[in-house]
Amino acid sequence: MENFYLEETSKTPKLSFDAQTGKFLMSGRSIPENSIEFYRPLFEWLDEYVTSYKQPTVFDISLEYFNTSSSKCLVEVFRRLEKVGGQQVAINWFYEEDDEDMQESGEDFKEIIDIPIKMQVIVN
Amino acid sequence: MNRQSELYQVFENENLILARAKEVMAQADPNKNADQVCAEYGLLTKSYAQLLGDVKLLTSVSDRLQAKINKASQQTSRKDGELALALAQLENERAGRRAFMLVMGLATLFFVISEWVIDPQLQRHTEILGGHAAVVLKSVVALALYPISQALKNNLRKMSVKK
Repeated sequence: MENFYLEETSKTPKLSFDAQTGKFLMSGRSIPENSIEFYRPLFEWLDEYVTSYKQPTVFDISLEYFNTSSSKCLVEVFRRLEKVGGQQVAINWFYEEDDEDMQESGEDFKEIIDIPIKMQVIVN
Repeated sequence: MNRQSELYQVFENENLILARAKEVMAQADPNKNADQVCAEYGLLTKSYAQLLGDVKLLTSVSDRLQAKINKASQQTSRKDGELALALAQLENERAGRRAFMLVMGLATLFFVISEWVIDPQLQRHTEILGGHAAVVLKSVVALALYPISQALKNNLRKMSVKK
């Protein structure tokens, strides 16, 4: 299975999903014109990944800002990873120490997703 | 595709679940396939719970974004006010400087005319104010410099505002 990689732009995040190592990264800003169009290839990639993964998956998320439809797409990403199983996936939610909004967003995701989400403070 | 349709696409999974539920309801006969209806109901309940969680999250995220935008808007308004005030001060100072230069020009011109034309005439006619006419005239001009400067400054500022 090939890795999934997209370079960061001013409106879309960097997506680096390594199927061999199970290291996933999403960073930057997520305010695409059409969120579902942007994330659909990732959904399709994840649908394949969850049927063929071989090792624990670690998903690092370090977002500066995301719009509402992106948050729905993030939920869809997490729901797909839930299929891997809670013990096999760990999510690290990174946020700047003075960014309460991003911290609270992470807490919100924690409440509805059945995967352990670890809150990680980035000290300035 | 319009913006509304794009937004609905975000809920394509939920739309599929709803379409399936409607289809099952249309074909369901609780007397014949109660187990199937019950299973579908269970699936629908699970999906509804997930959707409720999603809605709570989206509301929370949306409220935060709105608060952020509101805060940014307030900051922009405040900065806008500060900028307008600074611009007015700048314009005032610029008008004052121009008025000062004009008045200084006029004063210099008066001084030259006074030295070459007025003073010799006044010295020839010493009966005017007992020979102090030149001093009185120059004092009046000197005292008038500030009001003239202020009036010029106000006019220049008004002209600048009109522009």
